Amino acid sequence: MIQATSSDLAIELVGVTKRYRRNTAVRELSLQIPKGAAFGFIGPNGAGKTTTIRMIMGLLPMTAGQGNVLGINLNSGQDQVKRYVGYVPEQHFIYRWMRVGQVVRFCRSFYETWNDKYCSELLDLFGLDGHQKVKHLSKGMVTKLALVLALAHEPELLILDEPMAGLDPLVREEIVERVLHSICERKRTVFLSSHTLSDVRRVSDVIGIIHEGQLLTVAPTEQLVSGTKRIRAVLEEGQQPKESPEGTIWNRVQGREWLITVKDFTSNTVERLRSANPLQNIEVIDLGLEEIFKDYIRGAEVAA
Amino acid sequence: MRALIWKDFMANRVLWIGGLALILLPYLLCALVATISYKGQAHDWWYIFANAPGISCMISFLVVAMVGGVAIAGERPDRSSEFLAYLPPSRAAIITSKAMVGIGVITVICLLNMFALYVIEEVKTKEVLERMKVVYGAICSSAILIFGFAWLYSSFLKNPIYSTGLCIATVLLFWMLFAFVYDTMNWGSNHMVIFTPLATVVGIGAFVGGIFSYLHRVEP
Repeated sequence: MIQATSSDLAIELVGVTKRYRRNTAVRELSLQIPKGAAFGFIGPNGAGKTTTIRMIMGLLPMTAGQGNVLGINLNSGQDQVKRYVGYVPEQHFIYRWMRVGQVVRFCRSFYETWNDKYCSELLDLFGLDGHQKVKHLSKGMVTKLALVLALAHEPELLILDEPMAGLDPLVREEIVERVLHSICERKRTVFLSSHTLSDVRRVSDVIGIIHEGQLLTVAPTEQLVSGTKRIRAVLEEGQQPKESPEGTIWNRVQGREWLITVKDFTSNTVERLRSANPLQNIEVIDLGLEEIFKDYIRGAEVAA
Repeated sequence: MRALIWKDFMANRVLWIGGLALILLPYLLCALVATISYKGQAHDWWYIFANAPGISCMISFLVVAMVGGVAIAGERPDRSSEFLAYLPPSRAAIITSKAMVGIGVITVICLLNMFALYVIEEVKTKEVLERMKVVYGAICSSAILIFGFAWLYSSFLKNPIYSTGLCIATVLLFWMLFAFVYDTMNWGSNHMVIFTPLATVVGIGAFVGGIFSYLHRVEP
């Protein structure tokens, strides 16, 4: 999808596989994310998103495949990667006995690029008091603290794994509007994994959909949303579909109604469909990211 | 490294303070009992108070087991080990810091006990000092043995209570086994000559095993 040289890539995975005994969590995943891109990574629960992220972070060894993050080989420089990556996991396990100021000082000692001024700005922005103990913070405030820790060393790559899970809409809005947009404006690479597709849509330039450890598609957000359409065709009495159009993601026949979701939709798609099948009527429906996501998953499940 | 050492020290500060209080408690209680039952003879008071180091030593061993038990596993129940895993320090740096804090604490505990014994046994002659050296050896080797096993279990168990408990059970088994073999083999009168190096070697072996286990473990 994106042609780039290795030095332009923030993340480059080639045929990455992760197996746990008999269970394959990630299957030959290949992915290229250029520096400065905002990548949205979506998939159902257990699809392999967190496993992929943990391999990118160097926390989990790959069973097979090659990976480079910011030019660092994941098979040999796992510890190095963490110096340049800011990571916000779904659940936060920051030392509860520490005060906010102590956590900040503790983390600061590990990064040469730590920006004290930026850190103070973020703490002020989120209303975090350095004297407060982490165990006394609400879930939203802990997430904000995790974001401060991930951002204050000005990472070249920011990885967010379900960062907004369980947060109320106001906090989510604040994080997306104030933080993620500013990161994207600074031309840092963002890797966002989330179930909140509206957030993914707003933040990401490129979206990848993963299901059962396999990457189903990677496409620029606008191309994915505008190029994926649902066709609602009515078959002639007593007829069955003969040929699905090229780029069919998912289709279903119910009575005379034939629903087809296609990618890379063009006006030719309708013409070809009409000429190859006995159809009475055709309607083209625009889809939101949520519907597109669901249809990719349904299609993969049918194919499996 | 300084930040890691600070964190490892502060994370278990309640154990350090509580452990120190427990170790000193026998001295306080013995002094109290000795004072209450004091009948005007100075050596009576001293005779009762002299029980304190033995009791304190036993408590110290329990504290050493807890120090080793929480060293690594202490960060697993609240999953703060995961937070640390996301930060840049390597696992080698993390384990080095934990080892430094653990070894530092048990050294203080051993020195405290040795000093108390030195004072209470009134080491004034060469003979007493020679006898005390054997006792010192037994204390230090036992502490190494206990810490080693607690550390080893801590490296892979998820809860410090399990690692501490399993360590105590293992060390008791080791002592019983040693006593059984010693009696069966009829090795002579000074069993400490055998026990001290054996316990030290086994303890260090367990400690090294713990490091190896931690470094090869995928966490979280």
